[in-house]
Amino acid sequence: MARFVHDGDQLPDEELGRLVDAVVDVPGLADELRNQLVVHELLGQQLVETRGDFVAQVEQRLRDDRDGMVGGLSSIADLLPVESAESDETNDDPEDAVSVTEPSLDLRAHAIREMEQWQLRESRSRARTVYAGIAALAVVTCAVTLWLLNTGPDYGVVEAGNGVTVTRGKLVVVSPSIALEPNDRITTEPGVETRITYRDGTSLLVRGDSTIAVVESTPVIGKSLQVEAGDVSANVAEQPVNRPLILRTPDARARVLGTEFDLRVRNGRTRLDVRDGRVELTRLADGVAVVVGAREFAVASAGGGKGFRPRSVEFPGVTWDEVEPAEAGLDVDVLDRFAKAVGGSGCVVRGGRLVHEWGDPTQRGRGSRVSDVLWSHLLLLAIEEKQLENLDEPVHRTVERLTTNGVPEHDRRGKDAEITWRQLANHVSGYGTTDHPGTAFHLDGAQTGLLADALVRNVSLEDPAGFDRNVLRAKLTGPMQCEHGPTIVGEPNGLLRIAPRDLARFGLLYLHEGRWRSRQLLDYGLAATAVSSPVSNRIFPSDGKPASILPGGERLGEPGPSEHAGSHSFGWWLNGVGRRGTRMWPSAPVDTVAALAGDVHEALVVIPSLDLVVAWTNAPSRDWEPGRDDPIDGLLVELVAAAKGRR
Amino acid sequence: MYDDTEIADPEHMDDVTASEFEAILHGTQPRIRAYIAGLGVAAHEVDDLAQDVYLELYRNFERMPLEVEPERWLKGIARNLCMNHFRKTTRRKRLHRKALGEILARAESDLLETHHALDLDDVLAGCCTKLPERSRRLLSMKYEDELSSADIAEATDTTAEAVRIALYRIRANLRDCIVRQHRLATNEA
Repeated sequence: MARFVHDGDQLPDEELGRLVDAVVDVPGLADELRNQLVVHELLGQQLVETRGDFVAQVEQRLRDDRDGMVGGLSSIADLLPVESAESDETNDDPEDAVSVTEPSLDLRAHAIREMEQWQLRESRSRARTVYAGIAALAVVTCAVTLWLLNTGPDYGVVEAGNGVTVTRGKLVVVSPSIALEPNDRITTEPGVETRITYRDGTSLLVRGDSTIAVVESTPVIGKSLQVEAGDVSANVAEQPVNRPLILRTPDARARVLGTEFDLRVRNGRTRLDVRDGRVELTRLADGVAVVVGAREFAVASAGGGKGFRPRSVEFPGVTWDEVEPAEAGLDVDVLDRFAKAVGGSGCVVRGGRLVHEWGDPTQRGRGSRVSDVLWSHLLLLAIEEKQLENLDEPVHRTVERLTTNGVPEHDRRGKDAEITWRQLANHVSGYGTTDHPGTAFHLDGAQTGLLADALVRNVSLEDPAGFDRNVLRAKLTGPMQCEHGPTIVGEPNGLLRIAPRDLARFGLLYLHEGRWRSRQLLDYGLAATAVSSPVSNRIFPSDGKPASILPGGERLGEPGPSEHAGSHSFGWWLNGVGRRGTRMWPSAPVDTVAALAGDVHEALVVIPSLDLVVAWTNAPSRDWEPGRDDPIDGLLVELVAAAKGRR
Repeated sequence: MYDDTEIADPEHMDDVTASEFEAILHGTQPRIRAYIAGLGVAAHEVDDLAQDVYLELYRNFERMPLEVEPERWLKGIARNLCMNHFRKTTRRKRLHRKALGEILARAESDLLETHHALDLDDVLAGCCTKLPERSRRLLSMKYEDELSSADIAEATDTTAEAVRIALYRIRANLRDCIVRQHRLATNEA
């Protein structure tokens, strides 16, 4: 929308079409766009010097009209038919029924229009002659082609173009539209989409960074594709009962009879979300099959495991729907023990509904390292919105003061010039220590402070209050309908102060891979990156000395554990495997992720395979270090026990 | 709001009508231009179309019903001219442009409803003074200096997209401020 307001004429047709779709689909967007256009115009009227004399321009036009343009007017009338408001099908209001002649007596514009009209008439005349000759041939050709197409196998047609490659054997097929054949492979580059369509109207949208192979498709076997990686949305026409559409992935097989769904394949995990209809999903690891219905999802992992069942996709509205623990398949006594063990205030959510609470989960916490996952989210959003190029871009390109004249005051060695956004978000940038970027892990507030400051001041060009309003609320907490005013404004600015109930919404967002209801608040791939990119075990904890940071820089959040244990990813703690080969939390499912304060007084835990989200604040402080007396594992034992064997 | 310039055609209209036309022109032109912009007409074409609107009013002044508010009549003319204008673009773009124009025509713009209580120019100027200095500088570069987003990005060491988004937010803030001023003015009236 911002680009349309500034350069509407330059917007490619496809993007203009998408904008039209968006203003139709999203309530309030048309109003917002119109207000933007109006304010843009008002600012232009007030500030652009050449636009200040509009009244004088009208007067000149009136003089032209009186003085000499009457003849021109009749010639215009000859060439260009009078447009009557009655012929405008959108004109319902009789008071709007004004007969309108072609506008503008401006001579230059008039001459250009005359030329265009003449050229148009000439080209139409030539075209008619050619068309007549082709028409007869086309009729015959079409009849034959249609007969052939409707009786032969249908492997689909793909729109190929920039960023879409169709490989046939060792050759690359080059054509804007390609009729697919068995064993063809379609790959899309990141950010590029394409569509595969079939004769019966079935349509598959293949999103960026995907690889699809055509298997076999005949009237006997039915349509079949291998989704090797990526993201596919499907709108499937009703298929014959004994010839369903089959989509295979490395981990699962989906049989589709006629429905709309999304299939996401990444990192040994296949997630199926059904929007309408029913899909049978089979986990290849053990052959277990489930039927996923409308508004349900299921996840099949390469390693098998519990939790492979259809689950409802539920999100809270302005308030949370509540459900009894037993109905949610949780043991209330065990939940009570868990809450007592954690302390403070918190809540447990399952299936998108509130199951259990303790303390006062509507009270915001005082802010902690949990903020790291928020700033990572906002960093990834800035990349999705193209405010930044990519994660591996040097930060100094945006934060110039990191390198000032080649010899920055705070960093005589100049090493901070090499810091990338990825390193900063993963606490391996060396900022604030003598470590070189990318060489050591150090969990302290300097890196979070720099990331937050850069996103607020340099990327969004805001102050903290403006950022809170125009970015945090507009793009995240507002769409999630957070109830208790989460904010980054306080002492210091940048620490997220959030109530457990609202923190749980953030957890639910990541449980659903960046989706909230029908909106993708963060690209699915980027959301997946945040919780699946652990720091390499080749990177050791820092043993560097403290170093100065930029003048005025804040250190946000308390220090955290010194060891990452192969389990730290963009501020999230994963249940990964450390250097010694031991898992971070042996008692918890492999897909557990958490955002943790340095002393665990505040935390967010997400366990997708159990459809669980837990959040707490203001709990007693605990020392923790991965792999050594980790209190988290003890707490998770209780949580998992509450859910074990139920549902 | 009004200046002493007379409409330069005393022979085409009688004095009373000319005076009335002048009053309408002076009193409505900012909103009519904003209305046209709000239908999605490109910024560099807004004033041309707006001139056509007033030319049409001038030529057919007697057709305007007495009971209809002039600004409403002008918006009707403007809407028809804009739809004609969209029809002249290339076929594919024309369909999108026309569709968008119709959607935007039906959309709400509370800014354009504030006219009875406020002089939009004064209010906008007042709201601009309340913006942070950084935001005012961005507006100055964009509208006074007429720099492109890419040029502004280079000057502020950021990206063109970041500039566009920042300006988008600034306009949203201004819109909120104008609406607030209108509510205050309406309550006081």
